[in-house]
Amino acid sequence: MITLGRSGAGLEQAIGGNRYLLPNLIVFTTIVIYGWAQIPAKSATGWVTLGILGAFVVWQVVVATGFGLHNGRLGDQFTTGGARLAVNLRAVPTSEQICYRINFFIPPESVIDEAARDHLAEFDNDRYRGLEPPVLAECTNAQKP
Amino acid sequence: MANETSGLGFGAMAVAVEEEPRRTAVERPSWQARHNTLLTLIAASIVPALYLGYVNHFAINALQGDDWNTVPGVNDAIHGHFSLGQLWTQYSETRIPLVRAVFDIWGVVDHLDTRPLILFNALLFIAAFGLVLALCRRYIERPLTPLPVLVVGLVWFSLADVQTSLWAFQVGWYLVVLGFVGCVGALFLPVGRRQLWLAVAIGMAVIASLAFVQGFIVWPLGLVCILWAQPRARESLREAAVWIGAAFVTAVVYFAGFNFSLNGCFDPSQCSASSALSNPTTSARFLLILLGNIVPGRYWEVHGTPSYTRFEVLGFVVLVVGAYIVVQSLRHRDVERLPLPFS
Repeated sequence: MITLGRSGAGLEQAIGGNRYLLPNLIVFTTIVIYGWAQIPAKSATGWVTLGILGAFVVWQVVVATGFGLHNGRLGDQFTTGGARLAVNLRAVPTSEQICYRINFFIPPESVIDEAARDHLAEFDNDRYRGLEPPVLAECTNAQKP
Repeated sequence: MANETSGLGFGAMAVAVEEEPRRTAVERPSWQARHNTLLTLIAASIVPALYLGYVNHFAINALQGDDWNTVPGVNDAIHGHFSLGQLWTQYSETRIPLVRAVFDIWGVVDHLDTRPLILFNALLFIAAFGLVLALCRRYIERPLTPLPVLVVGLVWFSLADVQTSLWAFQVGWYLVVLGFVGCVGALFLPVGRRQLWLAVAIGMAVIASLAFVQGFIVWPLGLVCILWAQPRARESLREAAVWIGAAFVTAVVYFAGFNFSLNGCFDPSQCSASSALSNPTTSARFLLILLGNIVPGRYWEVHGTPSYTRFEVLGFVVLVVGAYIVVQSLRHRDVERLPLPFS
């Protein structure tokens, strides 16, 4: 279903956003369960097969855990930057706001105003208020001649 | 024997069970065998606890991407203008009434603090894992042992899925997964009260469908489960008829007034089933890359044109192994009482 709905957007969509992984991890989990339940550990072939599966699982777990920790940190920084920007958007020069909004996936000002009025999420505490918005060289430089 | 009972796998446990009668009166089960239940419970808890710790550490109270699109609805709910029509509004190529409902409720109750919402997603995922282990137990028809449970946990809670696990809006995916596993669990785990549990399974399939449109996949999979063991039995056929009827009603209600040309792509004409089918090579490569991404490699850092070869090769291997398992399971359907590979 994901392939039918998204493949037209380009191959980069399959991995770039790391968004459609959950169903594939379920497939992988099923393979692991099947391997453990059905491959007989008594024969040499069974041991080899289980060995290959085990090695693959170790590889997957090591790579995925490193990936998750690394990108968890990056995601944390990015989301915090987006929150600082949304809460302090008015501190950004008007001419640069579009560039920043595109880079941080920030919606139009009317939606931000709604969230601010209702004290939703990052607008519900003072953590981000008064902080400098993030600085993106590509957005500030874009305005220079 | 000692090695075989040391939790190497489900297969090893089978050997232990078979050899049980040959023990003399002097021999006692090993310490591990005597405490297998406790050890397995501990093994089953370790990875979910670590996963919860990971989510708790990185989850932030801040709206991201699609979260922002729920703000107008939350605003309405907070100010007493809640409407079912708003819940039912189409969102790209899907309806997300359950996602919208969760956000609306969270907005009213907790000003849409996304941190507990992200933790709620993790709890849904942990609940689904518990059901998976129960299904595993039914599938192998033997007690679980610590090491396999630990390994299944490591794969299930893989941090490869970093974005979904740290994004409140993805509650839809977690509801789909819980709906799916709950549906299979309701069809296979309980003994007795079959009609009640069939109704529960239908309810879980509806939950999955109303979370994201991908949840509709639960209906055909549920049908496989119903017809798996005794496809020609009168009871199975009756349940299948009820199941198909429920799926039909759900689909008719869901797709009434649905705009099939909407999707989440910048160029909507590119992202359609007809576009995918008219470019079979690209679609096939996309599928392989998706599957191969279980060993992740790219996310935030994008430099230059990426190479997809590793993902395609791995995706091909996963596809072939998956197809092999499906074929083998179909061949041994009379012995395997649970169609786990289809699940």
